[in-house]
Amino acid sequence: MTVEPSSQAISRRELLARAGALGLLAAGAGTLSALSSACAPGFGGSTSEEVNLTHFIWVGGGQGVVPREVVPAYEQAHPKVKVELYEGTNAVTYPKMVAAKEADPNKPLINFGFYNVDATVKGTKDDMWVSLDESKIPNMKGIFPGFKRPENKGIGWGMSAIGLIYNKNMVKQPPTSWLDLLDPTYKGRVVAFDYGFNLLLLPIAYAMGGSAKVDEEAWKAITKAAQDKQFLAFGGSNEDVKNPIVRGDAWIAPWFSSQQRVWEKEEGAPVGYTIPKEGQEAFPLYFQIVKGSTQRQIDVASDIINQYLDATTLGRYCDLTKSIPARGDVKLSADLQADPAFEPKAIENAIQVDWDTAADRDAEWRRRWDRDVKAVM
Amino acid sequence: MARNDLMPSSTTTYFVRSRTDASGRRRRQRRLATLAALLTPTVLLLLLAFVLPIVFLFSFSAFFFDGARIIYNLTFDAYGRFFSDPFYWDVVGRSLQLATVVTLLAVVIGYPTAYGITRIKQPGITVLLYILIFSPLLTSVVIRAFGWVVLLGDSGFANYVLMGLHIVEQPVRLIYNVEGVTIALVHVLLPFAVFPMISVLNQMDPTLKEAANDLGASRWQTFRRVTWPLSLPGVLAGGQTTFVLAVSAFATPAILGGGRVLVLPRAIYEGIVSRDWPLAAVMGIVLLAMTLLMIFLSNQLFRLVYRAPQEQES
Repeated sequence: MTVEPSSQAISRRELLARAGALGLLAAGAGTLSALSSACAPGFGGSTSEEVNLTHFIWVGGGQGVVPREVVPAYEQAHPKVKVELYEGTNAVTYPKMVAAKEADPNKPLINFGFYNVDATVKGTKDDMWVSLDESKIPNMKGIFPGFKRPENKGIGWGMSAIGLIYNKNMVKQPPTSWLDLLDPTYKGRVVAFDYGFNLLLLPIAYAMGGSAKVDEEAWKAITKAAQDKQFLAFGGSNEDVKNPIVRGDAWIAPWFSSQQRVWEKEEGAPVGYTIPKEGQEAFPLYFQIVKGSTQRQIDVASDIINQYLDATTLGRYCDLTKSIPARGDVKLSADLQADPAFEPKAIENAIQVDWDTAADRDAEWRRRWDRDVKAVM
Repeated sequence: MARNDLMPSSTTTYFVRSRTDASGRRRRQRRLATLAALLTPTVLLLLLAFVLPIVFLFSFSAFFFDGARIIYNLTFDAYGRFFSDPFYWDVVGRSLQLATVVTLLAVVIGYPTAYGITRIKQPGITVLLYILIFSPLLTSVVIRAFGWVVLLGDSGFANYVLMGLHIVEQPVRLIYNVEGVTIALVHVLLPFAVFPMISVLNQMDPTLKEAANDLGASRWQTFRRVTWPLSLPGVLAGGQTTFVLAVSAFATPAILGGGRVLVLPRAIYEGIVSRDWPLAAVMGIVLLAMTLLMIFLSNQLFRLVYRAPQEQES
């Protein structure tokens, strides 16, 4: 019996041709898939998509130098990345960020930047921050555990110490206690930051044995001092505190050791710094990435923050700004190492403020500050 | 010819009137179209830059602030907090007091200045004086305020002169108080008081003064009966402009006030910084209302004062 080939059978040639076509198709699809993965956001920065970010940095006191080195170098290495530097203070910029979030949560005013502990805690309560990915910021591993934030909402890079600054020409014996701010010896010669509760109210409260929760005695003392014309002025900026001290109109003020060193060493101002006997106050400083940023922006911001946290870069930033670094392998200048504010004991014994309570009570304290202090001074 | 022959018939009247009406309507329409074209850009700008923000201001004033964030429920809580708190009444009072003092000083200093400038015949000296008067406007108000801090500080020029002349033995505190703010604001706002006065004084008919002199009036009488009344519109305009700017001044009280000079614009700023936007919006509305009220009252007072002598004479 002869088997007749069916009309639906295909020849070997045709089979081979079809198989070849299928193979080519599969290879093409695989290539396309690999290419699209490579171009997808968050893939190690190799995308061709342009990305713009706004980077918040602090103004004055050498704080703009390192960002102006890191950012251009990064932009040169990553031509599709454009970073705009937004210079300002936390006190002024943070409310603007909140306003921008109210207007459009997906268009944050700032994408990432430097934030002090006050803004960091407020931002946590306002759900402002992105949780940082340690895999994208490997230098986070070198940071002291005390500077880590819950859920990695930000990473500490250092701290400022807050103590007492004084005009060296007008004050021959430096003040020794936070309570000297209320001493009639300095009547009419004390300047402080307006609504800066962590600079005046809290150190005085802690010096009196209180805390952010137990502050009534401090309020009474400050109110009485205001009535007795103890305070020269309350300023709204670094300059408003610096200028009266430098001119000699004010003699003492609670302020950052980092700022004092810049004014004294680099600007030749006659301003000294002293650590009160109750301890200087620790003021941690953080990097944050702001919610509402795109994944691409978050990836770039993570990359730049990682560079800042490198021991060499961080050391340079701390040297310039006289800040205390939050990692142990940073080499600081001999000048800073000899600074009393940088002594391990001074850091260890620093007053640790309850920042969460301070953030919760901010509105209440502002109300009381207006009525009990500013209205009577 | 009978009178009726001269009266146009109703038909003729109809045709003449309708042709007149039609061309009149076309003229009116053209005029309205021209006016609309000229005014539309300004109206649009006002809508976007003034009316819309005012609407937002009123809407924010009706939201609730719980101490940490804004709750977008309609309520008059912020109004209640403002109007029931003596502290804010004090702030309003201080703002009005500061603005009134600054305005009076600016007018008192500005009027002789304006009068003197208009009497100078040499154009070169006039130009120089104009430059001197208006030079404060060439720099930013923040720079000017910091300049005053340096001049008025304990070791500043003012105290240097006072102590050098033995008028005082210790430096006088001239900054971080209302006195310093007043001095700086008068300096900053003097041009706004002077310019309207110069404008009105320059437009005065000189023959009126000549006529008064011819009729035997002394220079003082001429000033009192002719120059001063005719210059009052300039005084009013300068005073109103100065007041509006003084009551809404922010930078100068912030820099020279030392936290001690509590004025409404500063309170608004602090409300925004502390995210209590409903309260800040209420204060913004109060500031606007205060300004409008003062302008209205000053206009009414001016009408009473300015028109009363004219009505007496007629």
